[in-house]
Amino acid sequence: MQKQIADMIKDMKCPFDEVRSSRGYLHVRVPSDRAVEVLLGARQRCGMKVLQLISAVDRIEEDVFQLTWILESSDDRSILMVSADYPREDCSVPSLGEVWPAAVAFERELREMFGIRFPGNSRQEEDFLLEGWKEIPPMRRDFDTLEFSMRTFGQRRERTHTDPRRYIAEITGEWETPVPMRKKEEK
Amino acid sequence: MSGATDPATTTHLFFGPQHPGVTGNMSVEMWFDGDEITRAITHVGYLHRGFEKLMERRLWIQNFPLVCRICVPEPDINEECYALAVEALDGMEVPARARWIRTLVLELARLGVNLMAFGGQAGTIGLGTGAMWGITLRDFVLDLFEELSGGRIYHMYIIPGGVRRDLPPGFKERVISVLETIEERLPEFDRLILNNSVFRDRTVGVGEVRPEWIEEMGLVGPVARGSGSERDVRRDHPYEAYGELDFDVVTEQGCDIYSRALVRRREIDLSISLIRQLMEGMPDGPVATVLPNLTEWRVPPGEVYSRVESSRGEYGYYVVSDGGTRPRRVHVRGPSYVHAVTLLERMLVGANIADVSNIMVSLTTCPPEIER
Amino acid sequence: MYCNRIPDRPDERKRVWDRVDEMARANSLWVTAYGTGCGAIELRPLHTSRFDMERFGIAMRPTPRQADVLIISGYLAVKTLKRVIRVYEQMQDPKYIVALGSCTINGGMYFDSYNTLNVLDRYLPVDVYVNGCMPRPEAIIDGFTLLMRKIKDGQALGWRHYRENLDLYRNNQKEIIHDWDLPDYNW
Repeated sequence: MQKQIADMIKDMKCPFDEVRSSRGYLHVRVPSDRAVEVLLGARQRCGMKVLQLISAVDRIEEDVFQLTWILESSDDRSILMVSADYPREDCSVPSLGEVWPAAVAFERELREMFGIRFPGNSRQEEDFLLEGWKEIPPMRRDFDTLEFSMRTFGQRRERTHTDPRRYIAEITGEWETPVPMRKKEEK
Repeated sequence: MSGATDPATTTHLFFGPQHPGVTGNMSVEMWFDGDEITRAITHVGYLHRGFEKLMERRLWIQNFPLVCRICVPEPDINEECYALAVEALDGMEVPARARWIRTLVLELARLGVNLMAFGGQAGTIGLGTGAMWGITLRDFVLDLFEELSGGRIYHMYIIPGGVRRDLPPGFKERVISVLETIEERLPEFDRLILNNSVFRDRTVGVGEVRPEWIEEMGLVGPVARGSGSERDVRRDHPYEAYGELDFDVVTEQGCDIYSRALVRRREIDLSISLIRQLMEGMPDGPVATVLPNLTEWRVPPGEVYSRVESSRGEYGYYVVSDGGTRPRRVHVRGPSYVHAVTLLERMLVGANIADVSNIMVSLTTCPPEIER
Repeated sequence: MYCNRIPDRPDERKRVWDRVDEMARANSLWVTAYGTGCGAIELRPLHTSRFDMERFGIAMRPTPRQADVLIISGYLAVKTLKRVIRVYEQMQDPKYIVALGSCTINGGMYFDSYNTLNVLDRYLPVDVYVNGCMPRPEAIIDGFTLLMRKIKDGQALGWRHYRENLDLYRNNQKEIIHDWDLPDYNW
């Protein structure tokens, strides 16, 4: 199955590199303008008919969103993952809602959580999980959730932290930890 | 569809979160013409806690108590999937006895949920006795869990590298006695529910899931197996000790609510037989690998997608690590994501309004795993 | 017909009949069947004959118009809070709230989440807290016996506090719920 997909991508003359491969599992990275073509080709020619998940990772240090589509084959249930990087500013990714009906829900969630637009998805603007949300999309790395929670919801009493070493020192009068730390295992 | 929501002929109703017939906290907005539904929209998000953002703020080991709470009736499956992903990234080997104990815990949890779901299907058509018996039988299994791990509902027993502690002495006898108690009461349970003419009238031919939808939408679990498919991750990609056990995939051909209830009933039998096999053949040995200092444990960078089979279908975890002490991204894909949002909206068109609750419970949608 | 202000109430403890009233209320508490969070899974074993809450007179009702008690079983997302306020205001006086779990006390393990409340007391008046994660059925029954004792002593007056300080509660609620469309309170 890996060979079949690798051949198909080579036929398309699309540069790709393999991220991870094992029995019944293949993860490739392709350029962003060829991603949809690779997915549709895998569906038609290699029997990858089931869409499991569309996910996104915010790579803020490289200023891209990495989108990953996870497909499953209907014959032997093997997995193909296709990753592509899209620019972070005004991100817009072609929608696959016409081909796979489940993609409509995944793309709605990504629009709400990350702010990625999927033109072609007819139910983009409906609220999926959040209601009346006014800040930036919450799953982005520059959204600080602890500060937002303390500012909006507050807390009943200030949280106190107790360092066990200090507590033991008060009782026994020593600053050393009585039990030595375990050495880190060499891998 | 302009005719489907025409205010001159259709009534607009909100089948909201506060309703005894809804599984969990989810709502369906419906338009219906007389008795037949013309359009339905699912609303989720009532239980959204922002798990994925919280998981990025905690250490790898601190995520285990958090991950439990994604699926309330069956929490061990989430711990297992996350542990499989972390072990695949880290390259850890799990000892044989730990794998068998993990499979035992998973099968016990599956047994509890299937008992409750099978009884719950009777509860939606008004047969409250069936629901009560299902919950009572599940309590026996929860007592076993309390002895094993200290908590009835949330166990936090599976950790990366194995399980937290060994089985207590005499556990095997208690498990066998619980299985015998359940087996004694199952024939009466069957007579109450499956031989019941009211149950058959209301569930045979209702809530059809067509076989061509399985591939189009990616349906999994008893919803797909009740329509003739044979998808089961335990057989296709065996994990833990499933490769060494002997079982057949349970499947039915009816495509309606009755066949899904039958699939769950036969999975109760399958779980009981698997638990017996596990208790017979459990190997000896250590129950966990030695872990490094957990506050400074760095998992090597990489991305992985791990899958397990829960009682509701196939669970997937997409875990991304960038070599630090905290995960970079965790995306949980529960089986109800497709069932409750895409499939339910399509199935309810043309259904009777009295069957909405039946259909929802037969898909066993669990809203916390849609919205995490 | 709308009331424009809170109706006058005579001092309740002076009337003798109220003692009988309170005993009757305490011994037949009917609960709205609304599972708002995790803790709802431990409400179902309460029906069964092992824990048997009907011997205390507690029963589950499907509609809030026929119920006295609202159980908030765990964390509350902002979207659910809007519905819970509507359900609470549809219940008739005197009404009580029992809050289960540590998420209602100080946020629990979701203290840094952007979508769950930390302190329930600011938005709804709570009479009894049952802590645990999640509380066992015996602990819930213990919470109910405490509530019954409070009712018999005339101490469970959360509903009165809500009526008299409605503007305080409303301010807190409107601070976090941005798309407000609930009706004005009608006494």
